[in-house]
Amino acid sequence: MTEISPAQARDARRFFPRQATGLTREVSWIDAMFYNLLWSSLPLSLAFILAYDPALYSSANPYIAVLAALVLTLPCALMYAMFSSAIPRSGGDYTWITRSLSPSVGFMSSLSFCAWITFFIGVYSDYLGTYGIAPMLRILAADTQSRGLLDTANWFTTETGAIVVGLVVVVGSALLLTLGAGLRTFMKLQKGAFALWALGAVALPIVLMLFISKATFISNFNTYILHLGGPSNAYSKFVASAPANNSPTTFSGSLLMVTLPFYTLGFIFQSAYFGGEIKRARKTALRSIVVAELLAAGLLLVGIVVFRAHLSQFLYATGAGDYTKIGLSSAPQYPEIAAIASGNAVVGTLISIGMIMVFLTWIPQSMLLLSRSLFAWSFDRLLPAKVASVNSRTRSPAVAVGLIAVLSVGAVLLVGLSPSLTFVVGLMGLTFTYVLVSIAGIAFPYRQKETFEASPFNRRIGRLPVMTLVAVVSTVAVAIIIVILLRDKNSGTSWDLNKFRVELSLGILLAGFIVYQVIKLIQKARGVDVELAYREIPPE
Amino acid sequence: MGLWNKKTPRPKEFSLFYAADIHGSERCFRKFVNAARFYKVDALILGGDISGKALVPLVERADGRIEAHFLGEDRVLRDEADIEEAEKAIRSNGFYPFRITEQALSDLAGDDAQRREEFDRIMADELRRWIRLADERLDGVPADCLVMPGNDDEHFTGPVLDESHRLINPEDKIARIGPYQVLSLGYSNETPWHSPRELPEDEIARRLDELAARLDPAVPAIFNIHVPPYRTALDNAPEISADLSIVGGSNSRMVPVGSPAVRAAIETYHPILSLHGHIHESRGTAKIGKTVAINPGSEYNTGVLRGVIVRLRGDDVADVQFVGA
Repeated sequence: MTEISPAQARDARRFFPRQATGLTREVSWIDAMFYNLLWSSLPLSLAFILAYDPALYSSANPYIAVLAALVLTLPCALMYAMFSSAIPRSGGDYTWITRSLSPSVGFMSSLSFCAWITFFIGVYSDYLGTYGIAPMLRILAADTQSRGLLDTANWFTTETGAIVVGLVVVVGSALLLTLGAGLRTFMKLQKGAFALWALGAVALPIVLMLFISKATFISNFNTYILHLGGPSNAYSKFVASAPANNSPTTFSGSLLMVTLPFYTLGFIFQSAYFGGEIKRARKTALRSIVVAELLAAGLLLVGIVVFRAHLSQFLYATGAGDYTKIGLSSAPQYPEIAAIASGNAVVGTLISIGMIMVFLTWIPQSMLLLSRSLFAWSFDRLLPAKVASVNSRTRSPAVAVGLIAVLSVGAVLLVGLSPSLTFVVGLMGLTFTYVLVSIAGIAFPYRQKETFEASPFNRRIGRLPVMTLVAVVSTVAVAIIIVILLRDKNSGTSWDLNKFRVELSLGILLAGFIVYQVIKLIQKARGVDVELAYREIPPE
Repeated sequence: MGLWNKKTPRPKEFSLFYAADIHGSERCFRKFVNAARFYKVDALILGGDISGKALVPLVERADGRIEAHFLGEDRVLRDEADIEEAEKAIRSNGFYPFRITEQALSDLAGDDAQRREEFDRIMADELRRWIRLADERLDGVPADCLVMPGNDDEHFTGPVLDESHRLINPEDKIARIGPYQVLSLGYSNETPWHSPRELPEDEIARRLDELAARLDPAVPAIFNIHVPPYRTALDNAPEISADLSIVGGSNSRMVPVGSPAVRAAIETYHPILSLHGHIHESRGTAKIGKTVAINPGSEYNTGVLRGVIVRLRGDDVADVQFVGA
């Protein structure tokens, strides 16, 4: 991962490398862009937009919502591109904030981010049953007309089913990461899993919906429900079960729906976390992040267009209708709808497997991400050294992963037992980190002047660093997103309906600051100055 | 018991700061020589890979403009202030800036031997400049300062380091710092890059045995070996293919690339502390028997000096603190 592309290395008129270690060929921006795209939760965002617009967002225009989310998240994505080019391979936002603002603020942000990622592990483990396994079994049950399979599918949508699946996935992922062979196998299988994800959860549903007619879908759906033991003419009954929606579309109503596309577009810069030895060219970082954002927004828009072309009434019913009237235990969701449209169990299974891969790849990777944070805190003496110990036989971070697994089990139980804790609830907490990264971006060119000057994004407009300018825009944009999350009654963090959750999100953030100060005092009593880890030796 | 036994006096604490792999970053070197005063330690050790990896030409065009290709883009340097700023940024990233005319650049680009010679000359000149800086800054500082070449340093690096009156090149020697003896080896095992100072495993083992034979058994030993021991998590690096691409691209796999000979030497001679660099991604500590092995990692390209402060008390490693800013 370097800026020395093969072409550049050959061009000895511009750059003279010698035989030295570490000078690898760079990962292409396209590779990095796909990495970003695949780490987004695009299928879930699409699923929720299709299900809840207009059922929950009656006056929203989903196209405006997606475009607004794109405009509001791009500045923050640019911040990540700039920071990752200036300070590659350093632990991401924890390091950026620590160096640009202060260690306590960096830890506060990092602890909050990690707490909410742990929460998301609980959510994703829970969703695996509901959005992955249950639809797949239901498709197979309809194909084989098996009552047993249907009952099993329904069990996966129950509280017990979701918790059991969640626990199995969390414990399985922890074992995978702590057994040396398991981790290596996971890393090897990752690309294949991503390919299934892209094909099954995104490409196939969109292509299918392009080519089927409304009449075909209605026929396939009616047959599907009949095979599951439901009533005849299910399509009409299901659509009729939803109350009429006569709300006019408004811009402010559309803005409130930004919550749903933000879930994908706000978290699409994972490539910022893999830095190389030599600072990457501006183009690589920018293209891989910005193109991924544009492509994700494009795919969301196309997905909405093709699904709504024939199924707008049906989709409304999935959010506002009564699925029990057609004998289902839960409303059919995006992947299941696409599978039904195909009328083919094999295609349907492939789509479901794609959705399952969304969760199965995300959970272990997130646990790895968290273990890196625990390592960083441990190295900085904020956690005991034992946390960063590596098993000498398997070379795996067994203690860190064990700790994360215990916390994740707690998250699975919390989410499983509290159906109202959906993914959106965690967005507020994660967004606080973006605010702090953006503020750090404002300060970085002044607080870390030399590192900024030696970075690829060191341009100025007049005397103002471009990075500071982008960071100001990003701070404003992220603040707008927070206002949206506070005002959206469906965000789970509405100020009117969920004041406690908002206070809890703020509390977790502030707790990090207090925890840091307490650890600092404890270590001081032991003769260790934790701030030495961050204090820069004056070079002059 | 304490009434009858004579109380053993607590050994005095000895502290050292260790860093490695600064790869030509002048900012990191300046921080390193200031580290003794800043951290109030008794010794400084720079464990190899001092030299930069590339030259960046600042090309004087016929019309008087100066151009450079740096950080992925072509830049035009308009005045002396621009040039100084560019040179500083280039050095901060671990490269060597050099001014050259268009014609001379053309000649150099077509002549491998001349380019090689020019590279060596610039590296040696820059190292001498650093030595002068260190001699000046460390004047009056009581800490010992060991600076060793690594696998990425050319063979002339050791002799140039020997020109310093303040820096000690400890390679292939048993050096003394306070109450400890330090065994040092800067060569690495073989890498896909064929860097200047690599050795096969059996030769590393032979050299380590030879050095260990010169250790005083009564004095606690510290190993200062550039390459980390094999399979210790201090040696995990992305897997590289024959054409130097990272296997798996953005989904890279980490594999152990340390030296089995180094691990065997640690297991055989039981130093109290073993200091390593080489693998920038693998910051951490590992226990090999009673030995505490450490790799502080490296982020030289951001101007950050990753290092570790180790506090020793007698035969014990009392405290390890990673630092880096």
